[in-house]
Amino acid sequence: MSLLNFSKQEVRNVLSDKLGLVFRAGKEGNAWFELDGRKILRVTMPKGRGPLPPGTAKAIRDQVKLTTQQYAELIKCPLKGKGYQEIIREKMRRGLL
Amino acid sequence: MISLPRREDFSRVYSTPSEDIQYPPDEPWCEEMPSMALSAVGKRSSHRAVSPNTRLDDLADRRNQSALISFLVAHALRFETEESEPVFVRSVPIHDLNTDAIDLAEPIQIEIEHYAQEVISKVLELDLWASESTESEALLAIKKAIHDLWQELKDEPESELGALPRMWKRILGKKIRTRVPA
Repeated sequence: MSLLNFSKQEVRNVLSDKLGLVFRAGKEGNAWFELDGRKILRVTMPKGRGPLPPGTAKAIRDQVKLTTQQYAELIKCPLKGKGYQEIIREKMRRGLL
Repeated sequence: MISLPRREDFSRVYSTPSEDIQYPPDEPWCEEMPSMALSAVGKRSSHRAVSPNTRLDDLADRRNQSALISFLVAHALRFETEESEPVFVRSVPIHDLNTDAIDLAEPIQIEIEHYAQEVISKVLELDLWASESTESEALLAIKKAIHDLWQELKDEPESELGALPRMWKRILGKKIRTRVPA
């Protein structure tokens, strides 16, 4: 589970920068991941700073449709926005999204 | 974190004669690897080997079963109380969204996961979750999340939605109805 052990700021920044998510105001901000002009996924991100609790971290990982390993790679850098788009496109081709 | 029982506790609580089990020398057996403890349990009067694949029914000796059950329960408790795993999970239906404007035509099933630091409420089919410190707060939060998702989707043209959000809209369209003023 240490692979999910990131801070709220880290995760929020990566999701904003790499996936282009724009979180709305509110206790928990929601943002849409869009691809080819369509809303594909909706991600919920808690406000504030500090470490993400494990349950919350898993819930976010599930919403971005990544394995724990892929999620860690997304947050820690090897997986870029383009790579993420490819993963999502592949899932769409397989009828999973 | 719940510690595994030490040798003397194990013997006292579960009435298992300690001389029947070969504990690792000079170490509390609870500190050892599961396979080592299992093999220790297996060195019983029945002389049957116990491995992780051994079925409980295969152990004819009742005292063997008692020892194995105790070991497995202790380990299950330890795993369940790891901070990163839910301590407790259950499923409850909700019948109302806590808003005057809309109502539920049929209940929505909510998964509740209790962690050491938080309670997560989820609607798996809608990819929704909320986190709060108590179960009742988490239920209220997920009701708001459902309401917010419906507000975002209800007027959205289907052509601008991917397959998942289209499905969420269809599901919520069936479950949500406008409340008629009394």
